[in-house]
Amino acid sequence: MEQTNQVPKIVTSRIGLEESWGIKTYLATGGYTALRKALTTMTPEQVADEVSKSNLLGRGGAGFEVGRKWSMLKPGPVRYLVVNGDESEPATFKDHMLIENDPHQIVEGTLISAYAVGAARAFIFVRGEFALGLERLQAAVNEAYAYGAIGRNIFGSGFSVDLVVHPGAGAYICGEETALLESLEGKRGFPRIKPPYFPAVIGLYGEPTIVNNVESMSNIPWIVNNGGASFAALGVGRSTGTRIFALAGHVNRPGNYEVEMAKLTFRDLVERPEYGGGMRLGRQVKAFIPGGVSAPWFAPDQLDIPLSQDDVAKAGSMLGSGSIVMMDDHTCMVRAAWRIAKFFWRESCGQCTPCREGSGWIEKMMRRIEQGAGREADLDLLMDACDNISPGVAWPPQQTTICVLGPSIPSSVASAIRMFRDEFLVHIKEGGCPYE
Amino acid sequence: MSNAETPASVHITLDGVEIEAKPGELIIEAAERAGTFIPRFCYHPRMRSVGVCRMCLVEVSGPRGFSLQPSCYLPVAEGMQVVTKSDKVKKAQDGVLEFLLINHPLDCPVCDKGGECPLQDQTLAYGPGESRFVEEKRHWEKPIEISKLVLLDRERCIQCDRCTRFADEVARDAFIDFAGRGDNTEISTFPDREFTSYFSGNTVQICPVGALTARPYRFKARPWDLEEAESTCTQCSLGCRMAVQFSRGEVTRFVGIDSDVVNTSWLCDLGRFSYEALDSDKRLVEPKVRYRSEMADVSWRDAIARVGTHIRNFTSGHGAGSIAFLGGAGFTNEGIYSFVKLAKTAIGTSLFDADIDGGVPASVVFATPRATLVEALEAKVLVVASSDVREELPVLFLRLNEAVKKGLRIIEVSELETSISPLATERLPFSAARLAASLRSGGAAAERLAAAVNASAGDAGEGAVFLVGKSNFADPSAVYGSLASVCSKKWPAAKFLFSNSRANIFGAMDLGAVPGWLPGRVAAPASDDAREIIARAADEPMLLFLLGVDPLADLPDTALVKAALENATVVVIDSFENSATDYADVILPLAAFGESAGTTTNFEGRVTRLGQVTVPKGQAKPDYLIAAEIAREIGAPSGRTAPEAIFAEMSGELALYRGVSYADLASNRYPDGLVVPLGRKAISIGSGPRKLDPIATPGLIAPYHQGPAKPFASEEAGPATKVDGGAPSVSAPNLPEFTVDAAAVSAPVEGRLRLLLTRRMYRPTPQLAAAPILSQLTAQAEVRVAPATLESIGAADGSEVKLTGDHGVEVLVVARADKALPEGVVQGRLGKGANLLQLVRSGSWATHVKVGSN
Amino acid sequence: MGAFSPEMRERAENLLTLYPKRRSALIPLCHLAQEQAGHLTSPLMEEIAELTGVTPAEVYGTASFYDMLHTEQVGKFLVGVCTNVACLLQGGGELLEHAEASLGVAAGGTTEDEMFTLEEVECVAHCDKAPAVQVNYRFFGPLTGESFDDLIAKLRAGEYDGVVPPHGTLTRVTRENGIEVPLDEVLAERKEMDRAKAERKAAAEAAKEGN
Ligand SMILES: Cc1cc2nc3c(=O)[nH]c(=O)nc-3n(C[C@H](O)[C@H](O)[C@H](O)COP(=O)(O)O)c2cc1C
Ligand code: SF4
Ligand code: FES
Repeated sequence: MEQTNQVPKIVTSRIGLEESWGIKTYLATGGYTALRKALTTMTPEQVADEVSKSNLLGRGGAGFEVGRKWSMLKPGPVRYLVVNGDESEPATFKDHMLIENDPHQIVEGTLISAYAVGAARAFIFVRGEFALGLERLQAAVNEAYAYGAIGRNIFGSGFSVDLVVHPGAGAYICGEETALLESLEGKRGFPRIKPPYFPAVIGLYGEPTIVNNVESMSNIPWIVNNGGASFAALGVGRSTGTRIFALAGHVNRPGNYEVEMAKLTFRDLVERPEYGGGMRLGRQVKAFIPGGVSAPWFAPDQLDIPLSQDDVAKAGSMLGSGSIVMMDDHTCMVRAAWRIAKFFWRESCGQCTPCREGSGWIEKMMRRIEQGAGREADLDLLMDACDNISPGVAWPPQQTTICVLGPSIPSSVASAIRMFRDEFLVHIKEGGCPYE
Repeated sequence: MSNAETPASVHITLDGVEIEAKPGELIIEAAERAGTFIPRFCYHPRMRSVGVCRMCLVEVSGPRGFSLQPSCYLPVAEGMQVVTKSDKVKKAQDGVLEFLLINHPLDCPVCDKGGECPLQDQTLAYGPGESRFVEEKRHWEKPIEISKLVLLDRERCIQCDRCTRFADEVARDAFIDFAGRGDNTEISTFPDREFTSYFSGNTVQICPVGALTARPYRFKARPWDLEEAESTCTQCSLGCRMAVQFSRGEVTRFVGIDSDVVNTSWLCDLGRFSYEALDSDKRLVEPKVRYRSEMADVSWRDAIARVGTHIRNFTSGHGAGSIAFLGGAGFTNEGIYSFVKLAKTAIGTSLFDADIDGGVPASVVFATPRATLVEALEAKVLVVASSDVREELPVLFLRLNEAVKKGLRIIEVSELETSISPLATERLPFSAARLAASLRSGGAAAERLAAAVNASAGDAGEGAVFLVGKSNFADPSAVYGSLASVCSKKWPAAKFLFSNSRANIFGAMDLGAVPGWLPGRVAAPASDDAREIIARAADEPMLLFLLGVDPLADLPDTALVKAALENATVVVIDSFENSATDYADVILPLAAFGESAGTTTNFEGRVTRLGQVTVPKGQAKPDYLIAAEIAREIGAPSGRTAPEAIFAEMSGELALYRGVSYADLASNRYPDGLVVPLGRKAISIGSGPRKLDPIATPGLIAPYHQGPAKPFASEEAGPATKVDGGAPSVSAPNLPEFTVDAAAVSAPVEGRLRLLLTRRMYRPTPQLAAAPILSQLTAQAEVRVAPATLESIGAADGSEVKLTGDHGVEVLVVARADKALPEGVVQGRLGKGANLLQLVRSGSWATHVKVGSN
Repeated sequence: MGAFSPEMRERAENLLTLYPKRRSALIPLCHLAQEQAGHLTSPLMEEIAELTGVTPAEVYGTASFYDMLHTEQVGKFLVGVCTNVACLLQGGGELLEHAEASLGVAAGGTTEDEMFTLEEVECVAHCDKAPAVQVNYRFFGPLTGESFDDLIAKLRAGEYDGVVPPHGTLTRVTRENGIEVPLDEVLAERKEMDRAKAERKAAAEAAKEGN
């Protein structure tokens, strides 16, 4: 699996350029040509068609085809487009980079998409903590207005649309699309029940709404400029184009790397000098998280799985948000799993009983074990509590809750127990963490 | 599917058995009708489903096989398979229960909810035997008082969203909300603000655990000690159905009954907690008569003898026309009937007025086709030209809010913004007099109303309902009589409801306790009304019977009332002390709510039974017995002395009640009574016993119906058809004519502002004053004034101003700046502290006041 | 008198125009309020309630859901140490312990001089610079105990003024004005787009049939 050097940088081409976030740089590097092309030479259906042809999979986590989602938008007098820039999945930091460093690309992708789906208004929901990103994105929007790319009769095409940058206020759950819409409506971020609240049917203010991720949007200008087919020519099978992987943990060079989908394996990404550059201090991989903390963990022997949505799914986990966390052999797995459990406990919205109460219970048990007060029976109890949140504790998960935050809670805890039961037992027997 | 007509029913397989369900029905409801109870906490049949507690998870077939779904959220679909009893379902439900319990305190023995707690019950029924939770539980500060009436114990809360949904959706009082996130989620008011909703007690009723408790009930009783009786609230004329729960002869709690046709389980706080007063030391419990200047306790025999002497003396000295009865709207039908017979037959006086507020007169009430509440909620258009519904008939506001969500169009006619304004499609800012005049002789107001009504209901008003009532308590009743009567003429097919709000005022009208009428809606020659009686009593010798009223608080012209009370010989028949008792010559203690049986009639004409749960306090007696004893004393044929017997006489003698039996009214067949006269359709729910839903109405012991089991349309013919001689006929009288001097009403008066008088739910009444906790909520009198006017007299918002009436009366009252007031008026809100009614002169078409600095 | 300063009130009213429904501005208005007062005071929440057409209890309830919104006073600098998994693997937990010792407050606490409020935060998407720290939502990392102390000292000395604005200031770039294209105009345009689309579809079908 050799990666050829000709693979274009589709979404990260401007990263590192001087003032990459300003309109000057953007225009100098082909910015807004795609918007002009779409608006003045293509019909909305033609744009949507190219996106469908590209088979762009959503980059927010669920990996649903963007074009297909658009086609499911219920016709209605008012339709909205909402861009999800809430990125809070632990160890995911690609959208953060895009928002801060190439906001115009997001704006352009959003405007093109608004045209394709006939949105009456577009909102970009940005995680509140991204203060710099909010400043740069708002500045980009201001510039785009001045340039004539947003507002009335854009580029003389007769198409008008407004775009609002909306700050979040710190709640992981608001990345979930229906919670995001609630939050955008000024409410507590409580996910809505699907059915019937599929955004494409009943979304923002009850109107049909498309929710897409920031990275998904960033791909749109390139697809319009180069055609969906060229995008689909990259990658393998359903996993087309390129994708940013956020590599974190015990590697020498943590960072965001845009690579062609499915052509590389996890091992390539970790070991190649232009990417991860190998494990820190030359240590061994003990386990790794292939797609955000909601994903079940992989063992070292799964390093050779290609970075493709379907291959990872087949192996029982997910590529999710594109974050990969490497853990070396000096890592306390109990502690890592506990910290992830703690994250879900803190971020559960509190609506559904199993998630609200289960997350707290699991966190407390995990903490007790890590701190040396565990009992052997706790392991079965933990697994059973996990089972009560997500029956079967399998992937893809079954759920007893409204959204999939609930069944994400067991992933790491169950992975840790299944893969490193002995390590738990050592904690229990020795009354403390052996790594301290 | 899209174009297919909605099928009449769909078929689902429930645990292997095919059942029929209604299209759109939730799985949980369909299963329940089929006899399968699915455990639940957050689901409430009267509120939007949220599907958050996850207790009701069941397996449902879908395109990708079976999955766990909340049965309280998912509607049935043709061919759907539902499994409620598999191991998977059981495990999920057990899991939820265990999760709910890990942080829930195990203080059931001291919890108010203990014994009627679904969490406790379901734990016993399905739960794990022993707790596997060894961690420390979540801790919150001790119970906090979120209002004078409601306490919150956050440790017990299971975040079911019922109280918050109720406050937001049902009551439109979102003064509580969830705060925090995750397992730190709590119910919270705004910091340092109270949950000041008129309906807060409902949250206590629907809280599935002991997180919300009512201060008046706290620690008073244990549910298993409670007995209960079905009854009807008598705080206003809506007549909410409720269960009176009692323990060892003491009323401990009122619980709303889920009656589709009246109150759908809700009560207002005034009604719910009114029992607080029953036990108070402000109760009148001994007969008293005046010896020289002192009242002394006497025996009933002596008190009745004194009354008899007065009646004989006045009759012989000044004629029967010197004897008058005021009030009675708080009495039972049987009591009213007995007193009317006493007055009009035994004594021979026609002076009887129960409509002390001077609301829409009986002549109009009888002459217009009456709507039922359900008809009003389902009307093509509802015209509300009434006193503020939330203040006068509180639960009607909840029903209207619900109906508006289902599509009811409301046209409001009101000079002031009211609680209805946000619900209304349109508000026409006219006074009742102006609208009536305009309808009579043409004008913009009439045209606007006609346009709004006709658009939905056509020229004849078919399907339109009018709710008419006294929007300004400074107005004479003729204004409202006139308005209703011209509306009925203009829209002959329209139906009417009236917001005269005293509990049994419509029963009193039906039974001839108003001028110009005899029992059974039989016309009699006109006679003086309460205001005229008072005027006469001020300068003629009169014997006044005050039947549960306080003329000083309820009638205008206070100075005149005082003179009348001083001049007249006064017999007070009441349950509570009030300002009129000071003037009494005889006081006869009256049994209070729950202490006597009988029936009451609500604003639709619905007759329901009152539950007797205890004996009268002290020496008090039921109204019908008091009437009977007076009758016997003056040698009249002794009337019947049991409510059943009196009712039998009423339905035997009066066509109005024909076909209705006392027993019928409490039967399973007519659990919510019957609307008289029969012959129209009687609305009834269900024929079986009411079913208990331990979640929706915790605490109901007897098997009551729960939930909107049948849609409104489930009307069935009343028993009228069974009655010999066919349907009874009570022919409506002709619409009366009123002369209203519209010019006098609207003519501006130089230097003065027209006074609009309104009331609030917590108005100072003797009963409220006798309720220790509720009385803290009594509204203060205030006058709302345009900011500019306030400024012009140098007064600030919240300071005292002096109002000077047309006849020179001066009242000091707190003023509030109100930007929303129309020009030329001030709004006086009756309440404690200042008596604004004294500014009104009886019989004047409009009241103007001068606002001056104090 | 409003709780918002006249300038903030104007910005608040501007924000309201950006959304089809007023309540949508609730969270942005909370950010504004914090920019003005550091935290959400009761009068500010009441004014937000009035502006967005909800009850104060709903503003409080909504705000309390979000980590960034504070209904109680916080320090001038909100120092958030990330201990989530990527940072944990690089010593985030130890860094937090160091921060607690160094600032003399436990996570969640505010230093006596009201300069710093220390928070343990979830992943701030700065994982390639783990362990990461955010100060008033401006990011620093990777940090050691030493460089953390150095950062604190510099913040105290005012050396980061300009880079790290006073707490509560989410963004120093504001939208220049309200919505430029009114919704009804857009809707009319969308109707036209839909019509044209239907026409194209019909034409395409007709062409197909013709062949
Ligand atoms: C708990 C949870 C958190 C999520 N967080 C994010 C997020 O931060 N950013 C994001 O784009 N999608 C997130 N998602 C996925 C969104 O719900 C949604 O699928 C996505 O925004 C759709 O965009 P896409 O189709 O372009 O990927 C989250 C989902 C869940 C269940
Ligand atoms: S207080 Fe009671 S009704 Fe309200 S959410 Fe908690 S458990 Fe439910
Ligand atoms: S989720 Fe159905 S009753 Fe609570």
